[in-house]
Amino acid sequence: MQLPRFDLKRPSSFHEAVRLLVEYGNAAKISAGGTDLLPRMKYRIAAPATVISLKRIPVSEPFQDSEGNLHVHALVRLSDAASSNLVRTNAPALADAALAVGSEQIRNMGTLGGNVCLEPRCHYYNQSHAYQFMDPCFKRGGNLCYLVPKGNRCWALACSDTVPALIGLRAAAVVQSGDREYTIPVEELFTGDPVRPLCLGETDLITDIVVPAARPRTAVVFRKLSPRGGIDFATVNCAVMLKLSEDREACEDAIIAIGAVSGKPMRAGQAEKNLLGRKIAPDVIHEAAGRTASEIRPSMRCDCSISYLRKCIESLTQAALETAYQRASSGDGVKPD
Amino acid sequence: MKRIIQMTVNGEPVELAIEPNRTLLQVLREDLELTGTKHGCGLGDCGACTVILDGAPVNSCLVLAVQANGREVLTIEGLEENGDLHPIQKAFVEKGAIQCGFCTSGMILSAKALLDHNPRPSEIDIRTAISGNLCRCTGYQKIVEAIQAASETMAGSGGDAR
Amino acid sequence: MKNKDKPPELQPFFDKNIAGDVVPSIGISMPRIDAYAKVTGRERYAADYYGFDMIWAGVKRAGIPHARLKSVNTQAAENLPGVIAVLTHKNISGSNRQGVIRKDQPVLVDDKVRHCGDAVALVLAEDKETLAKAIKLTSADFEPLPGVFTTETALEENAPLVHEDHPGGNVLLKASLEIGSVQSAKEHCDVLVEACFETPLVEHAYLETEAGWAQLKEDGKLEIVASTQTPFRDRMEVADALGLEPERIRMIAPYAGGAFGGKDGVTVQSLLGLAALHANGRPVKMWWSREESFIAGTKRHAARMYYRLGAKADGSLHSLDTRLYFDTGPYDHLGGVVITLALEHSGGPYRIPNVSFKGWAVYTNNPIGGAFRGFGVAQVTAAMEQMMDMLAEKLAMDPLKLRLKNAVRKGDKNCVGVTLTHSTGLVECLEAVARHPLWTERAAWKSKAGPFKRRGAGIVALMHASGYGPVVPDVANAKVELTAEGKIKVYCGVVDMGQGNAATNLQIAGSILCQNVDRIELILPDTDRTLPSGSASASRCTYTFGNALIGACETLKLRILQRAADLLMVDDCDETALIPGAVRHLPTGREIPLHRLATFMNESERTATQRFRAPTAKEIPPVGNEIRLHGFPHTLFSYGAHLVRVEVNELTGVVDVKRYLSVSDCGKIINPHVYEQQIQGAIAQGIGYALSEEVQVNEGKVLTADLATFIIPAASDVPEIESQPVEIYEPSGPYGLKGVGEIATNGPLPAIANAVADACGVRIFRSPLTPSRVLRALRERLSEGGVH
Repeated sequence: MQLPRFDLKRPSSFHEAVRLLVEYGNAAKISAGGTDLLPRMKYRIAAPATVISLKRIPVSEPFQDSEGNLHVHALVRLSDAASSNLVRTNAPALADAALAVGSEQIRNMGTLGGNVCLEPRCHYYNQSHAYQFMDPCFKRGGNLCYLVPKGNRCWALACSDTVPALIGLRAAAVVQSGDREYTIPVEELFTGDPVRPLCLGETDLITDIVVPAARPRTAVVFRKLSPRGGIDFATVNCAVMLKLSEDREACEDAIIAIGAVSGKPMRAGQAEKNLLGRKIAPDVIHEAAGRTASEIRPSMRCDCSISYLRKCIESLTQAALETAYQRASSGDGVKPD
Repeated sequence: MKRIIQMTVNGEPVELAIEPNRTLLQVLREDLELTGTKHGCGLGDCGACTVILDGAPVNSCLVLAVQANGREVLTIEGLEENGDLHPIQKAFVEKGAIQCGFCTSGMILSAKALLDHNPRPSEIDIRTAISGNLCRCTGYQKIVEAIQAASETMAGSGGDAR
Repeated sequence: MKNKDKPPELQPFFDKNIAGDVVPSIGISMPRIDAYAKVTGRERYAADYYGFDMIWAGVKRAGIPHARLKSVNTQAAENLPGVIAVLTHKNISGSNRQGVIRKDQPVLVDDKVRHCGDAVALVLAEDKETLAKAIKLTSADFEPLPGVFTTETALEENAPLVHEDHPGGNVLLKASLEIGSVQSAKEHCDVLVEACFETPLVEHAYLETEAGWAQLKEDGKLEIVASTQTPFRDRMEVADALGLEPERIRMIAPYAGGAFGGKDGVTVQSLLGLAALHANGRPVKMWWSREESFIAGTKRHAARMYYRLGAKADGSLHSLDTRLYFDTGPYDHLGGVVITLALEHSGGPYRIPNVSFKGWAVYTNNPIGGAFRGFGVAQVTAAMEQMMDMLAEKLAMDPLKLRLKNAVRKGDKNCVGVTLTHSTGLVECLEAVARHPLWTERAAWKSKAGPFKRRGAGIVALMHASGYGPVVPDVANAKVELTAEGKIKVYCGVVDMGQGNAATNLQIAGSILCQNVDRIELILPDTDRTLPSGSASASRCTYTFGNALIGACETLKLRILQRAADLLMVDDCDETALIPGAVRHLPTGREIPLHRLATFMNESERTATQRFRAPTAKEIPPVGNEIRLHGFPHTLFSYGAHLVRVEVNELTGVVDVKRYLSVSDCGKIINPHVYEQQIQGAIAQGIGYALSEEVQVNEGKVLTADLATFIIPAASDVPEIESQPVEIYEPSGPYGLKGVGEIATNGPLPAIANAVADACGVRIFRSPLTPSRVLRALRERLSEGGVH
C-alpha cells in the first residue's frame, strides 16, 4: 500500500495554511492527524498533488474564557481531548466521544478538527477499486452508486463520533477564511451530501471548537454502538442534551443528535420539541426515544437493515436520555458558578 | 522531492533523505532494516505496525516519515537493554503469549505504553489498551496474562522504573 | 543496504538467559524457542526480506466475476519508466494450472475469468509506486459472461458453466453415503426435527498477508521464500504450472505470520516464480495488500445445510439425513476435500444406525472456497450440534444427557461406519462439563440477568479427524544430525505457521537426546535441506512429524551411545547415557564430549532419518473411489465438549460471550502452553465465526475487503477461556498425543447459538448471529407471542 507521490507543505500557522489552500486550490488536501486522509490516499480515493500538513501549527491547551466557554484547538489530538481535565469536567460528552474514536493508536494521531471533518464512508467507496468496482461512483467523481444502482445520489455515511457530541453541546467551529475569521455552529457545518459533506469554502479551515459554558441543570451525554469494544466506526451514535427546569422535573431544553446513519448527523427535532415542558418520567423518555427512531431516516447500507438501525437509535437514545436526566437532576454535570 | 529528516530511533540519532510519501513504517522496515515492526493492513485497522512516537503508541503506517522529524521513535528492537529482554518481552515468552508472532511487536509496544502510564492496570484496562492490536492466533488470554505478569514484575522492581 | 542478497538465514535466535541451559522435558510448559526471536522483532518472515537490487512484483486482477478474456493490453505499462516486465499467460510455458486435486486454477488467466480476484497480468517494477501505476495502466478486454453467485442458481439446469470442460458441470464433487435405511427408519422414530442452516463465507485474516521473495540463481535454480503451509507440494505445483523440473525449484518456508489453511497451497509462489524467471537474476518480492488478500485469497466455504434427525422417545438417535451445499467458488483448491471431510463429520460424534449423507461442492463465480481451520467440520458441527439441542428440547431432555446417551465410545462404529479403535474420550469430556460449576450453577447465574438482558448457557460435543485419510499418503520424514561441532540439528519438514510445532520438535529432540536448548538448532522447512513431510494442516503436524522425529532421535541416540561405548571401550552401550554436551559412562563417570565424539563419526553416521505414515481406517464404507481419493474415511479423531455462557441485550441484539469452557481429548500433552494456545486461539476464531465474521459478497464482488468491515474479535470481545484437557493416552501418537489444531474452532458457533436459544427461546439458523439478526429474531418471537 504505497502512497502516491505528493508535495508536502508544512505551514506553521493557520494563516499560512489558508494561503497555501488559496494557492493550490483543488489540487491540495489538508492533513491534520492523517488517519483519515492517508488510507484514502493509499486507496487512491484521494490523490492530491499537494498535502498541506498542519502538524507544525502550535497546538494550545484547551482553555476557558472569562464567560466560561471552553475553547478546544482543532488540532488537539483526540487522546488529549479525551484526557483533558478541563474537557472532562466541562464537556464530558466530548471527552467520551473523543475516547470512542478508533483505537488508542488512532487517537494519538487523529485530531478533533480532523474527526469533525471525517469523510463519509461506504463499503464500496472505501476500497482501492484496483481489484473490483472499476467505474467511479458519485463520490469518486463518477455517475453511479453501487449501493443503490438506480439512485441518483451518494449514500455514504457521516461516521464522526465527536460531531453528535458537539451538536449536543451546541458547540461552534471557528473558521479561518482568508484573512477573516468566522464562527459557525458545528451542526451547520454539514450539507448532507456525502460527496461534498462540508459547508466550508474551499479555502476555509477550522481552527477552534468553542463549547459554550455549561448551564445549570443540564447534561449532555454521548453513546455509541459499534461491533467491537474498540477500533470500529459507529453503527449508530447519539448525543442528547437535556436541561431541566428549576424544580428539576420538567424539560426546559433538549437536543437529540444521531450520527453514523446518514450523510450528516441528524437532529430529532420533533422528539426534542415534544419533550419541552414535559415532566421527565420513564414513559416520556420512552416516548422521546420512540419518536426519535421514527423521525430519523437511516440511509441504506451494507452491514445492517434499516429496521435494525431504527431499533438501535431507539435504544441508544433512551439510554442516553436516562443518563442525561439522572445527571441533570442529581447535579452532576452542573457547572459550579 | 526528498527531505532530510533527523529522528531518534531506539535511542540512536538517524538522519535520512526521504520522499514525503514514505510512511514511518516503510522507512523503519526498508531503510533502517528494522523489520520487527510489521505491516498488517496499512490502514490503521490492525495495529501490527504500532511503534511508540514521543511516548505515545501510533500506527506507523499512518505516520509520514517526514513527520517523525525531530521526534523519538521506539520500535520493538529498542526494547532490550544491554541484551536483556524488557520485562514485557520476558513475560510474553514465559506466559506463552506468542504464536505466529506477527502481532507481537505492536502488542508489546501498546502494552508498554499502557504500563508506562498505568503501572497496575485491571484486566479491562489491559483489554481496552490493546483493542487496537488485532491478534488472530492467541485468543488474547495469554497476552493479557503476560501484561499482568509484567506489570507485577515492573512494579516489584522498585519505583525508579517509573 | 549493501550485500543483502545473501541467502536467507533461517536459524532461530534464542535468549540464553531464559532457557538456553534447560534440557527439555515432555509435558511441561517450556517457553517456545521461536518466542525469543519473535518478541525482539528479530524473526524474519517471508514478508521481511528486502534484498539488494530488489524488484517489486504485483498483479493486475480481473475485477469482473465471469468473462472471456479477449486480450491484455500491456503496452502502456511497459512504456512506463521503471517497469521491468508485464507478463501474461503467453509468458508461461507450463500448464498454467494450479490445484491440489483438480488443477483448474490458472496462474494468469488465459481463456476465462472466473472470479474478480483472478490474476490477468503480472507486473515487475523497480519500486512500489511505479508498480501501482503500471498495474493501473495495464488493461484487458473482456467479454462479460453471466455469472453464478449462489449454489442454488449454479445447480439450475441451464446455469452458466464456470468450467465448460468439467464433466460434472458446476458440481465440482458430489459425495454421498448411505448406511441402513433412512427411509424406513423414519417410520420408527418417535420424534423428528428438521432444519436448514446457513453459514457464511469467512476470511482467515492472518496478520501477515500472502508474501514471498524469489530469485533465479546463477546456477539456474529458482529459489522461492514464501509464507506457506506446503513447501513440498508448492514445489510440484509451481514446477507443473511454469513448466520447470521440480528439482530446479527450491522452496523455503520461514515461520508464517498466521495461515489457518489460507496458505495451504499456492498463493504467491507461482507468480513469484514466473516473475523471477523474467527478472535477470534480481530478487523479486511480492506482498499482497490486505484488500488483495480478501479478494484473491481463499476463504472458508459458505454453506447451506439441510438436516433431518430422528430419535426414539428415550433419546437414542435413530436416523439422520443431510444435504450439504458448499460454495467452492471458481476453483477446486481443496473444495472437494473439504466437502468430503464435512460429509464424514456431518453426523457428529454419535452412534446413528441409519444415515443418508449427501454433499455438493459447487462451482460459482464467488471468491475461492478452500482450506480453513475446521475444514468443513466447522460448518456441519454448527448444524448438527444445533439439531441436538432442538431434539433435546422436543424430547424435553437435558441436552447434555442426550449427547452422553449417544456419544461414541471406543469400539463403537461411528455414524459413517468406522470402528473407533483409537482413544475415544468424548464421554470423559462431556462428563467434565457436566460436573463443572459453569454448567451445574447455570440456573442461578441466568436468573441474575439485569434489566433487558437475558442469559443462557449452551453446550456442544465435538470431534475432528486428523490426517489425510486413506489414499493420499500421510507421511512425514524426520532428520536429525549430530553436527561436527557436537550440536544437534533438527530438520523440520512441517511448517510452523504459529502453532508451535517447531518448538515442540525441539522439545522432543532435546528430551530424547538430553541436550540443552542452546545445543539444538532447528532447520525450518526447505525443500533443499529438510525432507518431505506433507502440509502443516489437518491437525497432523505434531502427530505425524513427531512420530517420525521420535524414531529419528532414537536411532541417532543409539548410534551416539554405541559409538561412545566403542571409544570408551565398554561392552554395552546400556551403561552409557547422553548428558548435555557429552556421553557419560555411568559406572565409571568417564565422559566423552559430543564434539569429540562427532570427529570420529562421518556425516552419514551422524545423521538419522525416519519415516512415519499415519494409520488409516481399514474399513471401507460404501462410498465411491472418488470420495476415498478425497480422504474418506479417517481412523483417528480428537474429541471435545464446549460450554459457553452468553448474555443477550434485548435492546440492541448484542450477544456478549461471558465465559467459555473447553474440555478436549487430544491425547497426552507435550507442552501445556502450546496446547492452551491452540484451544484459546481456535475458540476466539470460533467466536468471530459465530458472531461477526462474514465476507459480504455482491455478485462476486467483495464488500468487506478490510479489517474495519470484516470484524474479527479484538481483545475486549473475547472472554476468559478455560481449557481443560482430558489426557487419555493414544498409543499411536507421539507420547500419546493426538491433533489439537482445529477441533476447538468447531465449537463456538453452535455453542453460542444454543446459548442464545437457551437465553431467549429463539434459534437463528443463519450465522453469524449479528445483533441485527438476533434483534429481528427477538421481535419476531414477540410478535408471534402477541398473536397467541
